[in-house]
Amino acid sequence: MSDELLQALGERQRTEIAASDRGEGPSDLVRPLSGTERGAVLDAAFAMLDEPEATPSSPNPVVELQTSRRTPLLIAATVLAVAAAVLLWWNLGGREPVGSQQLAALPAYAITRLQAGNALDRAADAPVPREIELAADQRIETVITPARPVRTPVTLVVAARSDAGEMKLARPERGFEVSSVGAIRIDAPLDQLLPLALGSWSLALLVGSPGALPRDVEAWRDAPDPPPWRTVSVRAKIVASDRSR
Amino acid sequence: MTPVADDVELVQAALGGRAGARRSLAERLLDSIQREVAIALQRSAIARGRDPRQEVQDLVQDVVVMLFEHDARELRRWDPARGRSLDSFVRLLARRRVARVLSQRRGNPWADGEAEYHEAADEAALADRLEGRAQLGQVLQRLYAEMSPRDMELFELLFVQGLEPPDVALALSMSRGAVNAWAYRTRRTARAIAERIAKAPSSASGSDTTGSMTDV
Repeated sequence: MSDELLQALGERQRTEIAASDRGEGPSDLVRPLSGTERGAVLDAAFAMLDEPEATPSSPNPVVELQTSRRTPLLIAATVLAVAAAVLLWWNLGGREPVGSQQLAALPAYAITRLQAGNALDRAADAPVPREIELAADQRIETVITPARPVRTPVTLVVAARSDAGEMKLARPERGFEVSSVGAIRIDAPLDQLLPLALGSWSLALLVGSPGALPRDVEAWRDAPDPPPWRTVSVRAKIVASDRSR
Repeated sequence: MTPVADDVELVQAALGGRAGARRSLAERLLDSIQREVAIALQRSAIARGRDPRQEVQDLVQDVVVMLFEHDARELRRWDPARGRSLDSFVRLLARRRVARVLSQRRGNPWADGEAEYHEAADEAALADRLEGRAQLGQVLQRLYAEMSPRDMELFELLFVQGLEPPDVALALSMSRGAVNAWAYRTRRTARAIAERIAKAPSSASGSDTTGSMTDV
């Protein structure tokens, strides 16, 4: 057997590297990352790396007990008691709800970039604001990033609760995209995502598998605790649009 | 200091947890990583139907995470004494990582059983046919997705840099026989991939961004 195929593949790789080093190729792919893009990439990467992995809580310190003649009896009684408790719990429907299982499969999400309304001109590496102020027709641009790569399909639901208790929810079909590692970038006018009246709102971005996310306000309000999705929230003050002033 | 000494110091600082060093190192490597991402995306035309700029950023981010996750396990493998620069080392890692991510995103057509293998077919003719159909890059991408870091290094030295097998054996502390055995196995794998791609309708071997995404 000869090496022609591997030689051709090696030659192909050489050619591609040379072209890449000369900056040849579609502009969208080879144009160097801008300062903003570099900041966004690094923010998102290190947010994923720095998020602590969910680990079981550390076990309680073990205290050596003196053995006695009653120890075997105590052990047997304890085992029986635990088994009975497990059976009782199982029969009483104490099994872990599906929601928490789905949630366990999804890492925590965090806002790694948020620019909206009055904060649209902030530097890319500025800290993520806790509160935004914008008109309903103004653009919101945000990136929410999972603590570790997510390879299963996820999507977005946008919900909000006003300080007066009004709740709203929408399942946007555009204005956002999901990356190959489960990060979500939203870039759309707020009213395209979720129209909100003037006032103060708690804006919630819900991320989860398409079937697990709430379809309406009632499903959001009555969700199990914990819900089968991840939530990141930000306070939003909705102000009058320049056009309506 | 030489550029290599600078890199050694930066990597040591990043691995040692010095504040800001990890980010500085990642920043320093972004351009090299992006070059590999751009090559892979051009090869697979995977960006069709997606925002190519966002695709580049997502994949660059994925490689950065890969470099530093698990206590920077991959990065710690860099040994400047073996003659490979940090950029070259990271590009090799990025090449493999991106090939895997893109391959898994499309679904893996090689997972449904052993590929057919026709010993008698002519190697050079097959390579020409693939080149003519602009499919050689796809074979390369699939091959990288199957390779271990060691495979990548061997392929790079033998077929990309074109070193002689005895020199490669010396550089990687392998016997000449082990290098030959690796080349034989890799040839069979590449051949099987190439035949599958050559037989596939051109639309099926192009981009497909709707496949399931499973963990790497």
